[in-house]
Amino acid sequence: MSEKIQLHNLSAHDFEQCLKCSICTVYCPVSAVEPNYPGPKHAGPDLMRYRMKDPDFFNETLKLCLNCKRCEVACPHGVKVGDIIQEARIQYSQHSPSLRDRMLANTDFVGSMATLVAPLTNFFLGLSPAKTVLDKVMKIDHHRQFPAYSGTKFETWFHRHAEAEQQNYKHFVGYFHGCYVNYNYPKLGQDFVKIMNACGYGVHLLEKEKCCGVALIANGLSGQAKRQGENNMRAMRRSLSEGNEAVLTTSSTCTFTMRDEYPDLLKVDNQGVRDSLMLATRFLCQKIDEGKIKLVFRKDYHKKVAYHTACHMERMGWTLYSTQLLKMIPGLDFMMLDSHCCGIAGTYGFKKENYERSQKIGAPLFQQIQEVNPDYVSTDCETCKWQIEMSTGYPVMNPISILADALDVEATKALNQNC
Amino acid sequence: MKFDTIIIGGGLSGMTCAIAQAQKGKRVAVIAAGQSNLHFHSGSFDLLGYQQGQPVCDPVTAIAALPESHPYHRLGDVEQLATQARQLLADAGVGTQGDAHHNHFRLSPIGKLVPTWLTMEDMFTVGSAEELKGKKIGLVNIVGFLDFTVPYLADALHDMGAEVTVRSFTTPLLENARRSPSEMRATNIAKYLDDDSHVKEVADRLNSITPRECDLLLLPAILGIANDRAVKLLKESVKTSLRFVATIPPSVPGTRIQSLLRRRFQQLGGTLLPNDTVKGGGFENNRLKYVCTENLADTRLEANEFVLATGSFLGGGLSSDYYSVRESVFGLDVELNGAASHVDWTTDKLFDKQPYESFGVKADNQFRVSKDGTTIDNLYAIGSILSGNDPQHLADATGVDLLTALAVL
Amino acid sequence: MNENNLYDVVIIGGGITGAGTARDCAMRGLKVLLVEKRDFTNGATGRNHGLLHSGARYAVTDQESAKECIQENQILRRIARHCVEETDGLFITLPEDDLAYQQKFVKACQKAGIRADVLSPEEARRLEPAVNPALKGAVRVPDASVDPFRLTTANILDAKRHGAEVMTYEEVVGFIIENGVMKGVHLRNNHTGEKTDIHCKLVINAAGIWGHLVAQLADIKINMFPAKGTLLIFGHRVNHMVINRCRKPANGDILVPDDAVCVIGTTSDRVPFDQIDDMRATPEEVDLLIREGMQLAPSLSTSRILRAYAGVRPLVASDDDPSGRSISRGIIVLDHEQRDGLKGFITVTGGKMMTYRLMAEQATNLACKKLGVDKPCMTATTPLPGSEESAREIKNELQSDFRNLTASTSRMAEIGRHGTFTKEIPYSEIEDHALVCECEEVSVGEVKFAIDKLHVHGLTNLRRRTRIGMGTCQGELCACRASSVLCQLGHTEAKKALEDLSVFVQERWKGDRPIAWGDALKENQLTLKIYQELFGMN
Repeated sequence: MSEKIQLHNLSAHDFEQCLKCSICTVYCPVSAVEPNYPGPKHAGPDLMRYRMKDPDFFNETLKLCLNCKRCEVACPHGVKVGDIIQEARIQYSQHSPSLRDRMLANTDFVGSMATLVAPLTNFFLGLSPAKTVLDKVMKIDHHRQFPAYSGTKFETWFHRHAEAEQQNYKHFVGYFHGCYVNYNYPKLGQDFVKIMNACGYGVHLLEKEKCCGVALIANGLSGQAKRQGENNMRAMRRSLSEGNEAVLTTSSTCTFTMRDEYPDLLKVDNQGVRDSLMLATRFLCQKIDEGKIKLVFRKDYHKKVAYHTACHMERMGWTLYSTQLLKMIPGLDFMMLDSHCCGIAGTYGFKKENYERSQKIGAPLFQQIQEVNPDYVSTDCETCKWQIEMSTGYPVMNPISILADALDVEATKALNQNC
Repeated sequence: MKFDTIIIGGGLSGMTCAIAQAQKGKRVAVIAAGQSNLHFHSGSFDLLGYQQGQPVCDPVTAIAALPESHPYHRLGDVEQLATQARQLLADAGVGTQGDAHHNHFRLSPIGKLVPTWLTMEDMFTVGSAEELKGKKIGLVNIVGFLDFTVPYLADALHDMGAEVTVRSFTTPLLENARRSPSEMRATNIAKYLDDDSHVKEVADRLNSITPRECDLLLLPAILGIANDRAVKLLKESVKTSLRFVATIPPSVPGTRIQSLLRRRFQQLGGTLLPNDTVKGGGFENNRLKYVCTENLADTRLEANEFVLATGSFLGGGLSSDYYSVRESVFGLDVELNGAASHVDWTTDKLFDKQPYESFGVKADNQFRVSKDGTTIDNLYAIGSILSGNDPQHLADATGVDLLTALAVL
Repeated sequence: MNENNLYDVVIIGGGITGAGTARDCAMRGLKVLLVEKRDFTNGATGRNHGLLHSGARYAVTDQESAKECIQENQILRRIARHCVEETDGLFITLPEDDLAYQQKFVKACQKAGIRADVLSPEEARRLEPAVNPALKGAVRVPDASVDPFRLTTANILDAKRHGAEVMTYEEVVGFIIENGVMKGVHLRNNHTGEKTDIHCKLVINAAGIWGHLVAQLADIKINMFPAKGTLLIFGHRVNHMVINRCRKPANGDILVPDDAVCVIGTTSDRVPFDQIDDMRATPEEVDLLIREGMQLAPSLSTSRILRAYAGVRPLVASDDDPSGRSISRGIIVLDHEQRDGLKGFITVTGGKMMTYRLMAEQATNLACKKLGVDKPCMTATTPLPGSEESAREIKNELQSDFRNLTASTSRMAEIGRHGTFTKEIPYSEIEDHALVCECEEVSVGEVKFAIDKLHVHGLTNLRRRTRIGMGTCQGELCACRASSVLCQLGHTEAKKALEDLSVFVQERWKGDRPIAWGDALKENQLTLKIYQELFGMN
């Protein structure tokens, strides 16, 4: 026979590449604080062989996994340890999500309802008795501060105040804003539009955007996540076919979910989209490198910024883009925090049964931030922002917001006019 | 994106080179595919441990007798580089004890005395087997910790003439950690104990179980995951003299070294890509112009000089399949010492010299590599990706890692 | 040993045949001593496919064997539940095979009483997604997979329960023969060198291929030829049904799912006697097995291989053709009183692993006849210890053990391995939950049980009884951990235990070297890094 044999190993999530070296266990934030968690190697490649023999080897201790993917970052051999664990949950879990889990996971629904009566919602969520009720009835930990809901959705603001003038530009990008910008913090979206416009790029929203689904996956609602994912891919394909050079984002988790979790866990095909779907900081960095965009910063901007690498950001490997951009600001005193999980892991940290663990996980990070004492912490993930603000009191800004603050808009516009 | 130097590989060799270059003021980027072999580190660094099966006393001098193919012969002033390496480690927070002209011994996780050059402070070392005669040693383990081979260590110490008393202890925190069937490992214990109050609890226990007449307490290396703060605190709080012995991996001292080297590099302004793999690069006129990585896709990383520190098979620097061995990133020329098929890569007796251990890229006296017979002027190789070293039989791995990292560029 | 060292029967050989014979003899009230020169299952028993044949493979060429197989298949499914996984099997016809053979095959199966259902290729692909999609025909038969280690252990335990005594590392180095009557054996302990004499009324030689050499000690010639068979283990279970080739039996045409792995085999080559204690897979054998395996399940081409191993079967030439060209099939029981004029000695050989019970029955029948004992054989209808309840029943009884979710996976693995004996495995203390081998879910509690009840003298014994070191990492970190735990629990001397660890790691390499490329090569470099560089072992 002439065909070549044993050229490479192919196995689901490369689990056969696992050498059992145990390095992943050193970097799992949960193993450091929670003895009930089997650890990434055990919950992942070890038990996978046994689950293949008999699904009864699956149990719900796997839901203690944060899905932070730091095991994958640490693995020297390319095993997708985190994916193995999440896929096992999708495949074998018989656990039906509770009402609380459904509510936490359905950010679109909850967000829409909440913004309708935002002042009331925010007031209500801030009250102790309300928190007690949420704690006892819904098992949402009473320590947890809900991020405030905005009175006006970002989409509404955009349609009213920004959409019209986007026609005036020669280059365009699409924008996937995500739930956080839309329901809680439209300012980040506004900062993004401000920067892109200053660089000579018009911004188009997607035709119909749905939550990326990361919370749905984590809460056992992967069927719904898949449907939403397919919707998002359709919308993005359309956006890219309509003259938008790329679809940009300002959330590291949304980006990672749509680029990697969609094909790896949900079997949502994102070919033709993935390469053009990226964080705004990546796009800006690349354009600056190519000489197509120039940024000019204010001379009176002086801040000390400590950068926190969100877990999914580290997994994507794109920290470089955000940090390079921040380092371009002359008045910015840049410092890189040690890369540690903040502990919130999206909806995970809101749940009463996880709260204490979340805070223990984030403790080393919070301590370093106190020691560094920056003006701002900067990170690309919104749930990290909530967690750090709540746990340390320091304000947290997305790199895009810092850029927008530090940008000399007029000077930038002038330089980019001829591009 | 442009840098002065790009280093491919973030293990001991890559990080040492990165720090050295950053100290010279260069803009350096390190691309690492994952965490490194430091997680199996003994706590000691070796210049040369054995020659022809015999332990070496004076490694600097013994190096002269190594075969020509050994990377050490391309180094220049070995002693000066050794001193430099030691200083670099110290500046990063890795303090060591030892002498480049006089090996001492470390106690291995199963009780063997292994000759070595530098050992991290606070790890147990022995100058000669005789020095333990009559010494009263308390060998202490944590209840439920399976990765410390007490019977083997006790036996070895006893053989050296020491009087050994075996003790074990626990605290509520450790007893809780023990509930995990699989995660009661050295590194997790170190993380649980990375807290002053927990360390003090351990100190209290140790003080209460130390035998009345005790010269030295030996503990498994389960403290100090990111720095040596917890180690120093425990030593201050325990009345008896205290030293640590390496455990079954994952290694706490090794994890600490990795963490300290990374921090030092970032403090010097270096850029680390901790989860990326170089897919290939652009060559022009026998120079490497840029590399491309998995995550950065079409973003090219340009530099004036590139260093390959990707390790051997384990590190991913070399890869193999049924038919051949390759250098994984660029397909550089490799030295296979005449091996024709996979049958020639290995030999029957496990602990005999396995041919594949000496496989690596060909490099000239300046450590420059070649591709299809042509030298690449600005691409260098350091560490275990180099051909000619023999980590198992010579105990030279970390020495090669450190010294080649400093000799290059 | 009993006071006078006097037994009715001494059985030589701790493979499945010896174990089964010890069980049958003991159940019929005989006073039995079983001696094994190394460890149980060290011979062919521990080095085969783990296939519980339906007999279909022999239906066309050897109806007698086929009938024997299907009967024993059905018996073992009943009496050895916890050792058997009822996977069923497929006999597939590939494009280059002759589909007409299938008809002949099915007819022959039916004639032998073996259920044989013809399936369409689509049905076969649906039932077994890993099967070669190019197949043009398939027949479904009641093949199953059986764990020979568990099966042997169960027989040994039952023999002991009925009063038999069992010793490992005791080698027969000579016989006590007086006036043409065998009256006992000279034993030598292979650990200490100590010599002992045992007296008995009858000796049963059940030593597999070594039986040839045992008989020589009594100046008796049996025409056995060692036939080497090599197999490959793949890292995970690629298939869930046994897959065979529907054609005349040839090399490498059976792929068996076994616990968390799958096994492809086998080959058959005559080897000289001086190799039988140290068999190694050759590169040619490895090549052949990979290529043939890919024909059955194409994904094997890109699956990680864990190790290669080789065993040796006894081929017995018929007495009237000692050249060995005409090999006896089926079970052979030799009455040396009749054949060679030596009273008190019988040999049982030939057969296959899965017909061991019938071999034991025939040998015991002859033994009882010679000893004047008239008791019926009960081994076919009495469940083996461990099999008394199903896995589901045991799990229900031990329900409270499953409340601790994190520790429960090793409990489940124990049920799979030890059946009802799981109830005797310590689980109440927190120390019992600690895992020694993470790949295969082996806890400290299970190790304690193995030391107490299952004749464990070292790591290799422990591996066979619990699966420590049989997983993907082949004992990388767990061998050292297990060694230290064993040293403490088993009260072994430290230096001996370390030597045992070194031997264990070397033995793992023996099976890894023939497949040392890709991940296996990396794994080996990691092993050397840990054992040689870090631990300082040499």
